[in-house]
Amino acid sequence: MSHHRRSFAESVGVTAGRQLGNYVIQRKIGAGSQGEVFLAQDVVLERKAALKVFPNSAESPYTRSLLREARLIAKLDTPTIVRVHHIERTQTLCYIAIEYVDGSSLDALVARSGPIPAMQAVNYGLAMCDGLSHAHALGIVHCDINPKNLLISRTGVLKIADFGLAFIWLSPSSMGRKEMRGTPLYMAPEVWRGEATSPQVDIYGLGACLYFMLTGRAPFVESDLEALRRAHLEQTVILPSRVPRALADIVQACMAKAPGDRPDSAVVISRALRDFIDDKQKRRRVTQATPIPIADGADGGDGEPDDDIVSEFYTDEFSELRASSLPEMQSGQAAQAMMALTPYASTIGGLGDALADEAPLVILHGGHAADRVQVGKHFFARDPRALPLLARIELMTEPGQLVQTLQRKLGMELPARSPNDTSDIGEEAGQIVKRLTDERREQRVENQPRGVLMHLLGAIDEIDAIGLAQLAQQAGLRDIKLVLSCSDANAQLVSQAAQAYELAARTVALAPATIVQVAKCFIVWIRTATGGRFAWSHDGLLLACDAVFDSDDGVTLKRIERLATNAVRIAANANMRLITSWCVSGATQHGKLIERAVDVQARWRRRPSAWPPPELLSKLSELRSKWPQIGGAASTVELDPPFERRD
Amino acid sequence: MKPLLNLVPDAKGAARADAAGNVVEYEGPIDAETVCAVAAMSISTLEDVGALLGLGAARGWGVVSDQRAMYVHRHANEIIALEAQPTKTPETVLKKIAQSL
Repeated sequence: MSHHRRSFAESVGVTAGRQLGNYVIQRKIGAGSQGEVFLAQDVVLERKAALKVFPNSAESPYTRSLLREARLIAKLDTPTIVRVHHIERTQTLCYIAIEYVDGSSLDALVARSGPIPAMQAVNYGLAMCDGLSHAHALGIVHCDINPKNLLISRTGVLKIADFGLAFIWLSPSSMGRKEMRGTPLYMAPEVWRGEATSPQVDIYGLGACLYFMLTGRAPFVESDLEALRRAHLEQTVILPSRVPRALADIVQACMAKAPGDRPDSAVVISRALRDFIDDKQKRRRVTQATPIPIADGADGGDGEPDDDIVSEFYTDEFSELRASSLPEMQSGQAAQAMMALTPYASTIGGLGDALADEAPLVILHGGHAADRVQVGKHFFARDPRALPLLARIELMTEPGQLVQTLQRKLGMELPARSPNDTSDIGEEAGQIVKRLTDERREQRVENQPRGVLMHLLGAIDEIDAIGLAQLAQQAGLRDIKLVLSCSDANAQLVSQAAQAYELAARTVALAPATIVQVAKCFIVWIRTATGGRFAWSHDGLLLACDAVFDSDDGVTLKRIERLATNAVRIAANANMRLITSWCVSGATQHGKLIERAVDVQARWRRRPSAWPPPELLSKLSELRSKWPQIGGAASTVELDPPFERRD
Repeated sequence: MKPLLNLVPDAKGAARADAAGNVVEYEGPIDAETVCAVAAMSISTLEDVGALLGLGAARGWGVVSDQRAMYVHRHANEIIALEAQPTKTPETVLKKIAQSL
């Protein structure tokens, strides 16, 4: 028999349909120690509100706290802090009507979708800076900045909520508050120590929330409170290598142990974040990449933000591992070194030849979509024969939707037409080309030849293929070459359409990597990324190649890189420099990238006393027969000794 | 591998590998893969050393530290590696490995 314990709101009849003042309760959306929160409709102003309902008791500290919170928020007037609409007391209850944010908390957002792309995190950081600088200027310290108190609307606007622990900071010379209250995962060292707090606790929280956005987890995760306290007091916060250095520096500065070592104010952080954006834009201009914004959801299908792929892939600056107990790795250089291997090098060579030709359309096809993306990026970023890019577009489309999807991506008005109507397709292609030439004019390179790299994900039909052919034709007349990266099936359709329209098109194929090529990628990656300090054993390499080659997801550079990285980090963590089948077994057991020593699962922290186990020995023996080119005594793949020094 | 371990009382483990260092069998609590891979990788370096000293191809060698020792013996197209406490001279151990084959 179960007992339903009635909440305070239920006990006083606050349920759906009940009207409190101008507000009609719709549903409960949250509950905390201080009361319950309902979604309500303001029937007079006809807008939604969040209603915090709690008992009206003059003696209750909660009541005092909530009223104080409402009064504090009422002083604040900025779009980045939730607003108080109204406060009311009846005989039994109090309620505060607060601005309703239709969306979710940052905490829920990250739990649902994983880490936030760097540029988006910076934008959220800027919103936090805005809210905090406004509050601090009025002498209000939030004191509980954490991802649950940051609300993100459906339109992507961040607002700071829950000023329940806020207090008035009088002046820099005042003592502040000496209470250990807050959310432990995000609490500043001085709060843990019970020392006087100041606006600097919010700066620490801001840094911790930035960390959370960029990595998907709190800066320190410990099993008990004492360990967490020690971590906040003593441990240096470490960000994964894929986080841009400049951002990592900002987070680390915000999370300095001594309040005086943190940036002076949220305004200073805001400036640093804006500098980061400016710098990123400057680098983009230099590399001539993507002037036309690329929307979400079409990043090659590997789920990582586009910006992060570019930086991780090309810039060693971002690839240094800043975890003290794990080795530094030059993943950017290693990824480039892999590009010098077959089949990638021959594809890059083919792209260069094709672009040197007069044809306005170059079709890159074959291999894995993620690898085509990498090859395209590498070619346009590094190859001297590459045209400067006017736009890089990643397009996820469905048959019959290509032109419209492209128009939407380029922010163009969509003309209404039936799906099978081809009569306007030439005109629509012309409008897209006009949009591209406008962009070129804005870049002040009006008369210079430019390229457009389009990664086509999903499937197209014959009409889409005609649209692409017409687009390439009209773009060609304006000295804009279209480089289309797509699957073999899509490439065939586009080639046929080009032929029908007598459009010169060149095709370049990315051949699937053979097992020996995969082995060479692994060897070159480890050699380059670790500067020759780590090397493969035959069995380690054999197992790694088999894991990648026999995967249902296919061979991709990203998978090779991830497996190799984890294997090196497991080896390093166990004081090994030879990547054995033990390291590879561990690497394949770790679903995520190992970024810190604590990420290594307990089973893979110490090298085994006996290895390999009998069942693995039999499997390795089978693999040697299966892949004699890399595993057997007749192997054609030459391994590096781990003790060889490479300069 | 068991008879070999019996021949060398302080041995911890022993392994047999092909010329590329791939473990064929092993006995005792050792990381046979690392031992054999390192043994195979060191062959070319030791052959260079042997040539420079005019010794010819290295047939066997040992690496001895305070706590442990590793001995390697090359035989036909195989490598025999043995890990033991450093209580015997390398010559004695290498001789015993050769006898066991």
